Amino acid sequence: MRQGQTVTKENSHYNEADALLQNAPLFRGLDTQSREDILSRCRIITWRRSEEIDHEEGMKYCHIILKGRLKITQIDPVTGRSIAPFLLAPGDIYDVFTLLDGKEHIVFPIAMDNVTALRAPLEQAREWIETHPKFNEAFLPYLGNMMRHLEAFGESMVFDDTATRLAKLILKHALPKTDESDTHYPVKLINTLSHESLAEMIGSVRSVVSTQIQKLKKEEVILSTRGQLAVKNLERLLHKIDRHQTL
Amino acid sequence: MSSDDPFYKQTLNTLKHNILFNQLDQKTLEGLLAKLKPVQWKKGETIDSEIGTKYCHIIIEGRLKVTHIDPETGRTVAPFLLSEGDIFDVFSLLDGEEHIVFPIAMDNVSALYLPLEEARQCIAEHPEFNKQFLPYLGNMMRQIEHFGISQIFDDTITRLANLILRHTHPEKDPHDGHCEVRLINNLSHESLAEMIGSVRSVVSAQMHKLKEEEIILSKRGHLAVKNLEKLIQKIDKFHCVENKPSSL
Repeated sequence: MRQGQTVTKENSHYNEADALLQNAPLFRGLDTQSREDILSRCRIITWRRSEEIDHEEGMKYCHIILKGRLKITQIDPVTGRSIAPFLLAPGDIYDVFTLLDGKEHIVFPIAMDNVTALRAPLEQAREWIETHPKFNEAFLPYLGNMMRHLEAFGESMVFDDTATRLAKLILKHALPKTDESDTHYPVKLINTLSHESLAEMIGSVRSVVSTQIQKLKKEEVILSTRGQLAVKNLERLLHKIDRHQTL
Repeated sequence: MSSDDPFYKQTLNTLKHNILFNQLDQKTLEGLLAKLKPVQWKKGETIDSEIGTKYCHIIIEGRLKVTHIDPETGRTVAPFLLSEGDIFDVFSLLDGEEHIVFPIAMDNVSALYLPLEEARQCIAEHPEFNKQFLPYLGNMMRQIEHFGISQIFDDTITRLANLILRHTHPEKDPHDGHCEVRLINNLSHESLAEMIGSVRSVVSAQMHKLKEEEIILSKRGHLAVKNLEKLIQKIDKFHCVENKPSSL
């Protein structure tokens, strides 16, 4: 981990950090002055790809991800099996749980890319919620979204088989075609993940996910080459979920 | 609720002791109460989930089981059993979107409600409310995260032992030496199964086993813990992490 200086207007990273902050839904509604105030209390830190982050960092600081992805892993202490209910992306906060209640949240975050984040003491971040009503206004729906994500994760573990869970994960990250002439739908965020990471995100194991991915490829539902994932047939992918989920 | 209402004082007192509202001053509480209307649901009543999209409810008395149903198989899970002081529906309150659930009153339930928009306005106008509301949300998130993770890491007996342990009062009753189980103590095996993502038959078999091993006492719909250490062992055998009640 590399930690930089505070992000004051004189800092060479200020403009870039400010631009990234403006794109984050949580901070979009804030005026220039409020963003400047927030940035001046943050330091820029970077984590290298594959770096494992000490979860105690989340006990002391609030991190706002500006660039890169952070996989939040939970590990079963007995079996060593891991799952990753969250893959945090630019604009996300780590660790929301501790930010909310100040308690320890035992997780094992791993940088999936070179990650750049803003870091501020937890107490400072809590003060933003109180002093910047616009931030609070955006923070509550953000929490709602996280809660729905967690709820869907748990519910899916009980109701769905692995194929459905995988199809749902891909669908959730599928983007509209950039051009009508495109042959496939791009997949955001998870498109370069290993089968192991995809398995962690749906509470399964690598071998099962690899088999399912092969099947989806063979059925021409997805396109998966050299660690790149895209959807070839959206209707069929939807059908994979509907078959199990709709009345 | 008007200050002339015969239940006004009692309700105001309940709010004052509610973990979410106990930091608000008298004037703010009175202002909030003026906006709230009372509602009652009878035991066994299924509540239309749409009301959660329009109104925010604060439970004053009784329990509300928030059920999810798989539309194809009809299988149900209930990650939340709401009780006094809880809010229904927090999801819609946070993001204003529909939350398809099937809430069922497990007792005669009394609640107070106000339109969602007004509830959101209250939150915006009273930042001090956030001091209690955010940790409340944190607790809910941990609960729902735990529900999902335990489906993968834990077998049914561990999930059941964990559920009982989380609701167990750590101090023994001086009369019978048992530890009281709160909130879930008179639930059916079906409801317990819904809370841990299992099915009735499996939970019944596990409950029977826990009884036979003299870990719990379960008769006529009443549940208590006879041997707390052995119950903890049931979880620790699989997990070295902390799973004990907070006061232990």
